[in-house]
Amino acid sequence: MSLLSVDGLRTRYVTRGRVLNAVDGVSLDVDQGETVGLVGESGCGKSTLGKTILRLLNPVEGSIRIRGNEISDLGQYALLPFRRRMQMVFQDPYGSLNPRQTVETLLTTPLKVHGMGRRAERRRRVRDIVSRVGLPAEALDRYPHEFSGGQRQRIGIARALVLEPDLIVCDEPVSALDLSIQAQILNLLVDLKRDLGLSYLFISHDLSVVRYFADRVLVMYLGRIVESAGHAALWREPRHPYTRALLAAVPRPDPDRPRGPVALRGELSSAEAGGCRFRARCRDAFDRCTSEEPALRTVAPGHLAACHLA
Amino acid sequence: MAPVLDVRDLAVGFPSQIVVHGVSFHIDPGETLALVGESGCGKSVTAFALMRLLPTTARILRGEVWFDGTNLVSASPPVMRGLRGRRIALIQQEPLTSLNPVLTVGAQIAEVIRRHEKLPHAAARRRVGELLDMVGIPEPQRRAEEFPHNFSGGMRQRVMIAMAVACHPLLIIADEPTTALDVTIQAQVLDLLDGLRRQFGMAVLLITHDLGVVAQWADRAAVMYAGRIVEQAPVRPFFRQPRHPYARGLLGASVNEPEGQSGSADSWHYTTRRLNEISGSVASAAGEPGCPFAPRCPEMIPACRAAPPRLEPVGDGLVACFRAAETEVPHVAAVG
Repeated sequence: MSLLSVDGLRTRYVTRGRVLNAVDGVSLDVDQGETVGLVGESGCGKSTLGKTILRLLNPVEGSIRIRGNEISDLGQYALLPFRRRMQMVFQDPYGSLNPRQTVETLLTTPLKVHGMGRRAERRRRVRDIVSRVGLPAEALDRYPHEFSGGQRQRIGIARALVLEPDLIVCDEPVSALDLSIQAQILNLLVDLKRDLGLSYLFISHDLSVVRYFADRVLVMYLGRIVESAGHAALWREPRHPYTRALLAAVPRPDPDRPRGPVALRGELSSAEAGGCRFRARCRDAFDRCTSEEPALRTVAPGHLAACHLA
Repeated sequence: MAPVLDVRDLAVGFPSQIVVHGVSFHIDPGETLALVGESGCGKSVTAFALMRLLPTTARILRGEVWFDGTNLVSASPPVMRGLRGRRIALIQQEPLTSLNPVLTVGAQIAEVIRRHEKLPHAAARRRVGELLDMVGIPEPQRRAEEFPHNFSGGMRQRVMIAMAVACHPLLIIADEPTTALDVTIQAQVLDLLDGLRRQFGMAVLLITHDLGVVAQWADRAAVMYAGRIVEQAPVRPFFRQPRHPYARGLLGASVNEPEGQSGSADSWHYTTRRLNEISGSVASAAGEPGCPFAPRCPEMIPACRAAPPRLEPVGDGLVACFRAAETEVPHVAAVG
């Protein structure tokens, strides 16, 4: 049984009567100990998907199961024991930590909320987690503004870990960080996964990071998963034209390997009714793409793509 | 050939600290120089100092900036106003904040043209249409009547580029022009800028933190660290053999496979390879007399703590490191 199993999930924003299906029928699984990368451009719905899975947003349709337990329709109180097992690390280490709380308060609060341990036990746990994420014990008495961006992200990771969750949804955890700090945080996440047996749903717009960090990769476009494959297969043999275009657009730090021409027309826009949502930007689009939306189907063992030509 | 821009020993300070410590570089006509570094290294402050657009609390402490026969450091405000937008143009990171939200984009581009060339309204409007068409905005005449919020991020950056090239400048300073954009849009925007550079023979100072962008779109790279240029070289030798330990560390910390390792897709994965960390942070060296990178440097020797090394010729470029000449190892070995 998968740790996380999502089926036919839909999340909708309604603004001034306009309906936007930010997540439009997504199914995915995350196994114990697995890192699943979710990649896509801004506005594709990847953060909304992450927040819906944690029930920070409510889905309008579909199911979310944690080890087989349906949580998509649970009330806030019934949700508590599941919340403990899935935590989130946010992109912005400046905006996601309460500036008026010391690190110790920030890390103790989740334990109190979930009624975990007595005072002494909580203190021990907070100290343990702080050293695990590579912060000195003195950090506990300090406030978020006293730390650099990389250190703040360590605090954010500590806060997610203190409840000993099974699954961590990382929403662009290194996007706001400098390259040298990004490497420190990615290495830390790798170590924590190994030591604590964590699973990650790793959301990023950065293909290079996902390529390095994920075991399996999901590519999202306008609310849908358009390709799903093991990391090696995806990079060796991308099947969806959008994935290929994304890969081609990543600038490589190698002047002798020039990029191909930009294989993508136009920009992300809202989906036109019916047909493939990518067709307006696709070089290979033909009649069928307008009339029939391609389903996500198996194109090779463990490799799925939503394209008539895949 | 005389350089378009020649920066000599430029230093910039804020009341609390000096942020640019004697930076020297030049840009040849038609060339793209990338100024690379992490946040806070002084790359944007350098660019604003060149344009004399520093915040009021900042001062140029010393140095000269020669551009087209003028020393920009001592140029009078009217001279600077005549140069900005006409001979030197600036493209900023976030086009939404650099565009006026209550004016149509057409009016804003026309303002640049009419400010520097005494064109009648109708002629300026035609030029605006041509410019928007040139930067790949469909239906240019109609879009010129729209406001910045009607455009997507990538389209806004195209508008900024149209505005920058409106008077055919000699030099475009692009400060993180694509950092706010998606990767597919980034490629489109940088290709556009590069194409216009070739077409008009402009030089580009490309400020970025992205080594991939440097490799693909720059001719030369200058790496900044803590307010100093620590390495400067043409991109090929730079990526083949970065000489400064910081530059090597940056390339090793990258999640991209380095040059010459384009082997199997598995070779660059967390299961097979640990990323190279640069320990500590930039703040580590605050207030010390020596090399600013010394506290984080794996190759530090006692001399590094005494005085900052000068930028000197090594190989194809310039390097500010006492050990640059002896560390002739390819960076791949240093990373392993």
